[in-house]
Amino acid sequence: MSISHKLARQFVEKFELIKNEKGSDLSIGDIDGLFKHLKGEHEEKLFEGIHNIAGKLSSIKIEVADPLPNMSEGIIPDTNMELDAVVKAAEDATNTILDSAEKIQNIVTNLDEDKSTIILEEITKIFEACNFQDISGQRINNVVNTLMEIETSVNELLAELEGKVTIETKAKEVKAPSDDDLMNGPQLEENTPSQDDIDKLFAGS
Amino acid sequence: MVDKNMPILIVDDYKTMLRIIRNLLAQLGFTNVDEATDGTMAFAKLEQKPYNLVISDWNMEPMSGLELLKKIRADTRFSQLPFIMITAETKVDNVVIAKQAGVNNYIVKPFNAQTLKSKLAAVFGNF
Repeated sequence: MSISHKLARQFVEKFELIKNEKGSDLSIGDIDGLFKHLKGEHEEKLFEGIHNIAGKLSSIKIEVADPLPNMSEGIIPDTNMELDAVVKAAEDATNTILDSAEKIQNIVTNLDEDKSTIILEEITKIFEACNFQDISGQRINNVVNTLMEIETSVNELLAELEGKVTIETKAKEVKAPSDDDLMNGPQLEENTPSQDDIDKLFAGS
Repeated sequence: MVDKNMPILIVDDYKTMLRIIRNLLAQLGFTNVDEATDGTMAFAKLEQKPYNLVISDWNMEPMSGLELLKKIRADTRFSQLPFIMITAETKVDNVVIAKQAGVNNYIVKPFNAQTLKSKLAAVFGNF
């Protein structure tokens, strides 16, 4: 049942009680008072719910920060720094793998052709697999940006409910997408066109 | 026949990615490769030396791969220069916009040596 349905049901139930109690003395003021009372209760529950969401978002951020390597010496003040640390750790690991693969590649050229072909094929697979560093970095960026947007929205809503600020809604201007608007980063495989799909787009007009 | 010694400019803001692309190109026999880490640096390199191919990422600052592509296509010196976009931006809208801007081919990350080879062959012919 939706919140508005619950509110309507509560209103009808309490209205029946007041009507039975006051009979013909029931006034418009009684109904107005009942409505304000229920609306207040409703807003309090909404406020409590949003407050819980804000708390959960904060704890998610702390949980994300906890397992980071080499970060035990201080408190991480900013989610972007956490992200940078994850990406940097992956980049360092990738470069170490690439260093080794390149060294092996140079040594292999002195081996006989059969063996070197097999080893070079495996080294190619290592280079291909190292794509993960770029992709994972972009995926982490997407997740953290979304988390920060949600947090901002929840905090604005909380502030509004506390009467601290008023959120102004402005009509959105209709404009052509900028380059930044087009940036989505990697999508989940099931939601995104494959290389074959892209090739078909290119083959079309 | 593809000249495997042709100069190629690869553009990506992730240095690790540049290294991967360079190594995969080397596996395919292309070793005359220069690097740039964003569109602005890439365009400056194009003005200094002739290249036969640009392979670029899309998502870069301050000049993105799409902006670089548009700038190249708008310049009569480079308007016919083959340009392959390698990117994780796979929404159909992105691909259509890149195609309208004049990209020659589009490689989706993560990619492998075989995909790179097939796109090079699509642009230059089989090798």
